[in-house]
Amino acid sequence: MSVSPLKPERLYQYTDLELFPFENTEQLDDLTEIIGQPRAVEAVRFGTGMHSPGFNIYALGPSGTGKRSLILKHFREQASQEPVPRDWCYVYNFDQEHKPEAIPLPPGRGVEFQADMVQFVEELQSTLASAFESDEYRTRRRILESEIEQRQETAFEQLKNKAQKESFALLRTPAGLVFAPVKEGEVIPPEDFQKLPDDVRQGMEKQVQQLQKELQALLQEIPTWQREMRANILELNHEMTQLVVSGLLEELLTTYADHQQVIDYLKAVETDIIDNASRLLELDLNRDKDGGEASPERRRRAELAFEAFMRRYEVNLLVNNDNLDGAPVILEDNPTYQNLIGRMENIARMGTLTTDFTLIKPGSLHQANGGYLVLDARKVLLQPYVWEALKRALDSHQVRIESPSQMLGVLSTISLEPQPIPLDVKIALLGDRMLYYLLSQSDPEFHEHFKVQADFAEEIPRSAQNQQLYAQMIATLARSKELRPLEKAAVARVIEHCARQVGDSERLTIQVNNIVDLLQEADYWAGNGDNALIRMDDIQKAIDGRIYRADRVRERYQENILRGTIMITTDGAQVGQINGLSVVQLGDFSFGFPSRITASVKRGKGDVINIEREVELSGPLHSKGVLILSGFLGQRFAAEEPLALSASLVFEQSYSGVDGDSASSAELYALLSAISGVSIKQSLAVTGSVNQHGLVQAIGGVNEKIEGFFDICKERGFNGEQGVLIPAANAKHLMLREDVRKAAAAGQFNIFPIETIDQGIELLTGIPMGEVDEDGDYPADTISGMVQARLRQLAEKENGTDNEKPEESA
Amino acid sequence: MSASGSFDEIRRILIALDASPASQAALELAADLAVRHKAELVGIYVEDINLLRSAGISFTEEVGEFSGISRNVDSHQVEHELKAHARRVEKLLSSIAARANLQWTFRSVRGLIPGELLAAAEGSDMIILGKKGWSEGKQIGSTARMLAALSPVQSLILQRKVRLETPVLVIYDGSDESRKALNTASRVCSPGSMLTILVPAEKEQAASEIFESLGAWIEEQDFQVRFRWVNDLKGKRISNLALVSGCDLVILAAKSKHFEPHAIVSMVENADCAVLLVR
Repeated sequence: MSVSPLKPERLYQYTDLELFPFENTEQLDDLTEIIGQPRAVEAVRFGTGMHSPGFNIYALGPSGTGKRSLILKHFREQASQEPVPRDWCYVYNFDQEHKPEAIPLPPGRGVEFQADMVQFVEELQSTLASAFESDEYRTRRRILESEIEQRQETAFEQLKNKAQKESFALLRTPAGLVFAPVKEGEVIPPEDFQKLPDDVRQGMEKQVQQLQKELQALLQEIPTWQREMRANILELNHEMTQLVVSGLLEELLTTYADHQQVIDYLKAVETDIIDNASRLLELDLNRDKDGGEASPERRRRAELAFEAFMRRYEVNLLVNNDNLDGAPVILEDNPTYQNLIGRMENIARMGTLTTDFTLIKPGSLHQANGGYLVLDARKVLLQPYVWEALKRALDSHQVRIESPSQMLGVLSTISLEPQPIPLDVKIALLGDRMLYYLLSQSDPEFHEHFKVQADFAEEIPRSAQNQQLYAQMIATLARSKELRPLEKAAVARVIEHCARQVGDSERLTIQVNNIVDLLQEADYWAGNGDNALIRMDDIQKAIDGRIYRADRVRERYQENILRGTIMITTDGAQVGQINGLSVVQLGDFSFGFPSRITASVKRGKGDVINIEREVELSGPLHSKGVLILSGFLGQRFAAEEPLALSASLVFEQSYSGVDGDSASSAELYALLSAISGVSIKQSLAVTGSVNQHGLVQAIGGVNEKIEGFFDICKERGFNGEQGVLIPAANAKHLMLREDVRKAAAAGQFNIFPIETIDQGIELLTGIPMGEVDEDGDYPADTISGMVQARLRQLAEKENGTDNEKPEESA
Repeated sequence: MSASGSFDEIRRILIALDASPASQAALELAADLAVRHKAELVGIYVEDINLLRSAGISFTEEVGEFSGISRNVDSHQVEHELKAHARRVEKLLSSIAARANLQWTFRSVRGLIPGELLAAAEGSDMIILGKKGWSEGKQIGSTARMLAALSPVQSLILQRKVRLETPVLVIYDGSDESRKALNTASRVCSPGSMLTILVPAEKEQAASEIFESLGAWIEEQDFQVRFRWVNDLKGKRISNLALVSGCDLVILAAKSKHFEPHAIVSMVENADCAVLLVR
């Protein structure tokens, strides 16, 4: 049953250069399709073409798999065949100032409308000024004012004349008016008045009282007259303004006759200007309230007030699609709440922050309306309120601009509530798988809005056709990044490296960003070597350089082993001790290293103690692996009688957690060695998980693990017996380093593909596992036989001497 | 100023003050003129003896001009208010004069207003008065009416703020008196401002000839000169012409064959703009 080591050619899958009918990548055309993503391509094509609500796309997969490129490509292709969506404007709402009105216009008409209103306002200012400064207006106004003045004057004069006839004068005091008796044009001095007979004085008093009553009646009428005058002036102002505004709006009403909303707005503008004619007149910049020339200060204030007032007739062109050739495709890199939904900016006026409809700014939902929007799922979820706002917009099919504080109801100042804009947009979220599954699980609305799952694979089969496409992709990447072309062998090396990246000689990674990084680094080395092409050496240098830069921890660990700080034996034999193999992932770099696993047994009740688990350093998969060992022992040796031992297993000198079941076969070998008392060769290291039937199963990181043990052996010097036992199922994953391959070819270091525990224990001990006979016994000179004998011995002791101290062995 | 074109220097300007807005406008214009002519400002406030007497009569009640409510008045209260007014206008005069670096005097007298002003005008070259009617409107008060008729010196009557740069309307009929008005205009107006010469005549041809006779004079001036003809100066005609011409100041001779003395008063009474009567 002895297992032969793998032949050197099984340790590495070279790229067949015959596949490449070119000398360098300059001779290759660009790759226009994304390779190896048929499922995702189909999903994106379906999602793009499907116009029903909710069929938005979630593109899931690791970064660098071409999600963004593929989505943008399909969106752009589709968008170019679709009509340009409408422009959107916000205008002042004359009925409800805080609710700006949204007006749609055909693409390009928004700009025109905005310019038309700017021109209208300019003309309005000058024409109104001319109208109100015209002789006609001034004269008519003066006449109106004169009428009331004349009325007052006449009334006062009549009263004054009446008083004069009765020998009284009407005099003005600082605060009012008095009647006083006169004689020869002068008021009678009080002392003379006192000398008059009583009846004369009383008569005068009655006359004065009567005159006073008439004066009071007259004064009470004055406000009524003034109101009449103001009403008449207002009417005049309306008349003049209407003349001006109607003339100016006539052309606009014709121009926008097909757009009822614009027509309604223009009519509202006309009414508003007429209603505010007096206010506009007060804002006359050149005159003070008495009609005199205005002071610079008043002029400045009037200018500000005038500008502020006239802003209401502006048009805020929120979305301008004038320059588009099809539907918009927007990639929002920074999907903050405001960047997505839009915002209302503020300006400081008189020390206070205020806003109006001209300060409404669009978000990417507005920009993409009628087209396509691409967002990064992680950024969307990280930004406060964005996810909820996005769902709300998709749910209601409209974009409603609210400030976050307004949305939370914590804003106490007056703000705007712009009319929501109808939304018709196709959205693609780009994110990793974990986010997709989390959203699926945690958000019941998620699937309502993102019905199309575009799953991007991170690796593809290493078929001949795919390798050829891969070469073309490398050529395209080199060209797009303005790198030197790659020679054929360099392309092959890149492909081999990509196979190693996924830890599988039969598959290739398609995480493009990693490939681009490698090519750029190789280009740097090619430049250093004055190479016109990127050669295989440059690729290798780039790979080595990346490893070296990330290699410090591995080197330090290896040093500790070589210096004996971490105890790893690479020759001789030991009972209950074996070299297991582990992998550590540090960022995007991983490396393997050996760990000593020991087992000890004593009489007990059939339990295998995982020391790692006892101190809570064992992950669930490792614990599971150890528990499987009990199952294996019970099934093979204790089917008929109790397992009267207690075994303990430990990863020596392990001070952090252990997880994964890849050491379970090593642990089983150590356990069998401890029970049987047979030594295990320390020149071998073991990886692989095991099931209850003793079959060895595939594990991950096989290349790193082999190389981790190889490096220790190499440093200590090969003894010809060293090697690694790997699951046979992992043989296809081997893409080992060149030095490992060379040592294997020289017979210095061997890789053994193991299928069963029986094969492995024989390699490790030189003693076969042994086959069970009809009576359920194993031959005594086999591992199983020795184990069985020991178990029986322990069982007998367990039954006979319960109170004796348990026997222990390593 | 004589018919030959000479004019009397303006060395003392009498300004009648009563704390009304029109009076303040008059003061500002007076200050501008005083600066231009390096003249002295003489402010006068008249405590109306009639008012003081009326307050001494037992049944006199003051009717609020705005509220229409009647209330008792007494002599002490009126006297106190008049003195407070006097102090206020003196302060105003002093601040405006100080700002313009003008020489100024002020006095407060008690008596009948027209008489006191006419007496004070004797020693001045010009009197400036804000006109105030019953309605705060354009109609002239009794004081202004008296001055218009009897003032021994040229009198400027206005009801709102007027600047020296304002467009001016001058009535010129070829007479010596109207020539005097023309020369006064050249002294009062600022260079570059608009001067409309209104020529009253039965026929336009005659008016044109009168205007053309001013060719040499116009050449010497630094104004934009405009000619207008009118065949009737009665009633509100001048006021309306000034309004249509955009002029805020009308200058005319107080003695003119076109106006009887009462017509001058009527014209001043009806004018919507400031009027300068040249004597």
